Amino acid sequence: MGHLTGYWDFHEEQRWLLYFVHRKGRLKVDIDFRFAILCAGFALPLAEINRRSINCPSLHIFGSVPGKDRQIENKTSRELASLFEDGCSVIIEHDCGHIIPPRSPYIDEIKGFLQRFL
Amino acid sequence: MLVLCANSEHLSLFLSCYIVTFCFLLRELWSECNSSSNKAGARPPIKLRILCMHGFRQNAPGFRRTASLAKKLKGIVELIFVDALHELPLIYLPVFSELECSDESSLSSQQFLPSTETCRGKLARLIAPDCKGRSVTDWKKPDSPFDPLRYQQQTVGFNVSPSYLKTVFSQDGPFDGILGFS
Repeated sequence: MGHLTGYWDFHEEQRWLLYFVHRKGRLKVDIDFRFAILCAGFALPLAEINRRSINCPSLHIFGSVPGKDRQIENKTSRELASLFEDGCSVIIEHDCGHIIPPRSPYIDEIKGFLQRFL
Repeated sequence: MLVLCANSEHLSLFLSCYIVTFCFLLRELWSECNSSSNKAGARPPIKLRILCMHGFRQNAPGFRRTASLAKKLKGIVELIFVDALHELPLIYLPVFSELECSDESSLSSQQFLPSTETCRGKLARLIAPDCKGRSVTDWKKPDSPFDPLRYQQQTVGFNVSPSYLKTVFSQDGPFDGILGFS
């Protein structure tokens, strides 16, 4: 795992999207972190991001099929996870709805991910 | 014990030495235990600092309360919650009786809504282009029913976030990780 820098990429119509990549950005800001946890996450189609192109350790937590999270579909969060490189992302699917699952076994899986960075 | 040993000087001397030695060893053992526990206690626990960003129509205290992650991950993380920048209109879901009849004397949701002066704002990182923010200062019913695909229309609001996040990172950082909800 290299030194990671998050940066913001300007897009048309003053819209923004946060990237978590190694590549140099056009507008770099001092935002630095080692991992990202994305709960019920989704990616807006504001900019082109290739699949498997984001090299940042990530934990994706979202509702399992079918329709366990009525606000953000399983497919949508899975698409966000697919933007991250294989091998650096971990997926936890749960049946608790549109929340961060606060119980076992999910909480233990979250701890397992975090232990890598301690 | 001294009375029993009074007739034997040798036995008395032996026992005295035995007791003194025993006490000395006990004290050494006690101090060693204390020092080792002090060393373990003095070592600051290593915790991961995680910046937490709440979801739509929420705020930092609300996310801290509902996520309940700090308790579940106690000892390994330090969670720092920050507010999003965009304030949303105050809306409420009417109670069933309001939908069924228009009688003014019937039970009304308005009776249970907190004061808009003391109510903490509901915030968002991204908003719809036609969002007017908290221009209306009082509670109101939603214009349309809940739309599960609403998030797809929330496409503006990034323009003020980079400088804000930069400030958060410089003032409250460094962070080991970030956590975003929805």
